[in-house]
Amino acid sequence: MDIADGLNRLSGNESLYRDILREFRLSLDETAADMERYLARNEREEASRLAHAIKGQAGNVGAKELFAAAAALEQDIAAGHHYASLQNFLAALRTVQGSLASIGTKEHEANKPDSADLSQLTALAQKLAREAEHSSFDAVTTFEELNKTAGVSFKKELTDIGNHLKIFDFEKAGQSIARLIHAIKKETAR
Amino acid sequence: MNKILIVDDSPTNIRFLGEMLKGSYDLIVATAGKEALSLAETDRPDLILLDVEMPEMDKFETCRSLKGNPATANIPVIFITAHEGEAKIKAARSAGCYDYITKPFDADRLRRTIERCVNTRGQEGP
Repeated sequence: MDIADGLNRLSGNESLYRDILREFRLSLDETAADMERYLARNEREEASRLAHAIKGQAGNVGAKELFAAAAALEQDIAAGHHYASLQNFLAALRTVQGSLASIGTKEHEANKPDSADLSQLTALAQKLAREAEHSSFDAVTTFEELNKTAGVSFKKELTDIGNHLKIFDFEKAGQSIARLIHAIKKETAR
Repeated sequence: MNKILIVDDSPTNIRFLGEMLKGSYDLIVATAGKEALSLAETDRPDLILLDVEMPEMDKFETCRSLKGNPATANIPVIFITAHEGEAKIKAARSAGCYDYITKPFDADRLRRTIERCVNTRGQEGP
C-alpha cells in the first residue's frame, strides 16, 4: 500500500483515509469469490467490469500493486488468456486484505458520550433528512456529526442510516432517518 | 455555488470525489444511470461527473441519453475513467462528453478540469 499517495489525494486527512480504507476492505470481501465464479462460468463481461471497478478503487486508495494486477487482468480477460493474471490479481488482493485487516473500528465509537441532547439530535436528523431527500453529499458529514452527538443512543436507527448512506442509497436512508426522527420524538415525550 | 452531480456505482470513488470537492461545490450523488437522468432533469446541475459501469446503462449510454434530452442536453459531462485507450476516449467524445479524468484522481487536475468546464459552460469541449 502506498499510504502517502492515498493520503495525498485526501489532502492528508488521516481519519477520512482510514474510514475509506475500512469501506474499501469491506467491499473486497466477495471480490475473489465473485471473480473466480465469473471466470469459471466464462462470464467475461462481468469479470471485466469487476476488474475495472477494483482497478479504479485500488488506484485511488494507493493500493498500487492491486491496481496494476487488476489492470493486467482486465486486459487479459479481453484477450482471452487470463490464468496467470488471475493468480497475480488474487495474490495482490490477499496482500491488500492482509494489510487492511488491522484497521480497527471507528475511533469515535469508543468515545461516545452516554447521553444525547435530544433537541440537537432532532435538528441534525431533520437536516440529514433534507440532504438525503436531495441526494446531497453533505449527508455524509451531517451523519458523522449526528452519530457523534447521539452517543450510545438510537444505535439501531443510526446503524441502518449509516449502512444506507455508505452505499449512497438515499431513498432507504431517508426511510431510516424518518424512523430515527420518530424514535427521538418518542424519547422526548417520555 | 455551482452544483455538480457525481454519478458513480462505487461508493469508495464517490467518497474520494466528494471529499475532494465538498465546500467548493454543491454536490449531489447518483449511483446508477437512470437515477442520474432523473436527478439531472429535476436538479439541473452545472456539471456531471460520470462513471457508471452497469449492464443496464453504462456511462456512454447515460451520456447519450442526457444529450438527447432537451432539458439536460446543455449540461456538460466529464467522464471519470480508468480506461486510457484512445478508442475509449473517442467513444466518450462521440457520446457527447466534454472531457475526461482518469483514475487514480489527481486532485489538482480534477479541480482544474472542473473549473475550466464550469467557466466555459455551453461552449465546445477542449
